[in-house]
Amino acid sequence: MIILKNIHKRFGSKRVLDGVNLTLEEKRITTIIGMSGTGKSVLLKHIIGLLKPDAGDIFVDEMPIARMREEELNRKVRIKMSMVFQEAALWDSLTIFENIALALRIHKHLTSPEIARLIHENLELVDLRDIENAYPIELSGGMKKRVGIARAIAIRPKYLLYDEPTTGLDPINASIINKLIVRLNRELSITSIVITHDIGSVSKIADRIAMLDNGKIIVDIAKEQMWTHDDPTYINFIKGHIGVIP
Amino acid sequence: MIKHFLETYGRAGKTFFTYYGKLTKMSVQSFLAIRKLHIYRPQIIDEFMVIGRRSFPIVSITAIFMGLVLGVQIGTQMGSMTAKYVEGGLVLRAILLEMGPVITAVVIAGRAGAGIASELGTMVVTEQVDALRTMAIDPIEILVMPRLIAGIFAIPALTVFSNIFSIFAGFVSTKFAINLDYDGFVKGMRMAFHGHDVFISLSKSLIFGIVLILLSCFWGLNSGKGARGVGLATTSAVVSSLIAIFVLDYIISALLL
Ligand SMILES: Nc1ncnc2c1ncn2[C@@H]1O[C@H](COP(=O)(O)OP(=O)(O)OP(=O)(O)O)[C@@H](O)[C@H]1O
Ligand SMILES: [Mg+2]
Repeated sequence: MIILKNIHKRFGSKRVLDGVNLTLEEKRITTIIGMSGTGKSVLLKHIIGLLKPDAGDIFVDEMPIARMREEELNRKVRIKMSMVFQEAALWDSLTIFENIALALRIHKHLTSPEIARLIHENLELVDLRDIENAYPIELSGGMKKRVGIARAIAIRPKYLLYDEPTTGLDPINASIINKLIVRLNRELSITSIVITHDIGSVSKIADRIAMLDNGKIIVDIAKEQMWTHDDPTYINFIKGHIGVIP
Repeated sequence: MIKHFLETYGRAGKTFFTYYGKLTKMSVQSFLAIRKLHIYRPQIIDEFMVIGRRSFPIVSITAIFMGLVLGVQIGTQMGSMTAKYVEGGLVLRAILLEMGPVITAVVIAGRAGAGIASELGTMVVTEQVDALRTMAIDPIEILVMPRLIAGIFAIPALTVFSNIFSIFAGFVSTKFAINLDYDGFVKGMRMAFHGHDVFISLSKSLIFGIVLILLSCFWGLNSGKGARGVGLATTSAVVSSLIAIFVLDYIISALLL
């Protein structure tokens, strides 16, 4: 379980997070929605320790991580947590094979055939074949995101953070990614935190929905309340993104 | 007025010290990372090839023309004052002690150093460095340390090539400028040569190499946002490397000569 307690973060004079409280339950898919620029990515980066809060604390399986040093974060948190980046962030000097192999080579004592098998297996999970020797620039946006997911699940994380996995994709590719997120959650029991402003995506994958607005979590509801919740900002957001409520 | 003055310089001073603090911290961490050498052997070999391949052609061209110019310069200025063969020794020492290590480092700073800063800067901007961190891979271990080790071997090696090319070019142009023959040139070199000179030449290139690689990595990893950020980081890397090379050149010369 991940618990965010009263997280504050500012960049210079710009206040981005202003007392975020949120509990992320295990084995669920929690989607975090919000307007562009409200700090969704910033929030996600706090959970995996890429950013440190100015105040407040973050608990990952009861461990307070907000003031952990990098080395301790690596040892205690990042061995069970991965992140899929908004623009995939594949290492562009490495082939797809090496992108997935890198962390395995550095952290696990595996033989080359074992690594090759794992890479094949993970690419298979995201429905990609015969691209091991390609470089990231040769792939389409949707394929890059899937490679990003394959790379993130290679360590079989307990928690997986997705930063806008469907943004910028056509509906078909977006739907492939949505199904993949659900499948990984069900098959590998990966607790997933998905940032998105794609309402279609929320309705397909979410178990819980949280909304970030003005530095605070203003909505934190179960999927069942998606269309009935009456917070005005939330209603506006949902309406604004799909036109009308069905 | 005074308050304003203190504030302005206070802020500049603070920036200066944060900058050196961060640079020192990164440098120490990259030397400490050498204990994980065995894990990053492929990266080190890659970086060695990259630095070597990127810089070898331009280092050679610069070295040859530098040697040619030195031959002409020294030849036409000294030729009538001393015995001709002295020129061999003058060319040799000018190249070994000064021109070889300094020009090679300057050229590498502009070629490989700029390449490193823009590559790491792009990785920061596109979140590739953050991606490393989320996978518990220390960016300093995988990005800085291999480049540092590669530079420690590649830059003195390039300097050796540069010295050889320059001396040969120096000989050729002396021959045309004052018609000094091969035996005379070698005699001059023999008389002027100290083993110490080679040591100084290699020490200089080693120190310049370490400094320019660390500065290039530092600016790259601290790149600002967007294409503009990467551009600025690259410029800062080259400019600060050049300044550091010339300042250190003076200090080392004053201490060792
Ligand atoms: N490293 C940083 N330094 C300074 N400001 C930052 C930094 N990272 C984020 N910000 C600022 O924080 C605010 C929130 O950014 P963030 O990327 O989290 O938004 P977002 O909700 O993810 O938006 P989007 O949907 O467009 O991705 C922005 O105004 C951004 O400029
Ligand atoms: Mg974002």
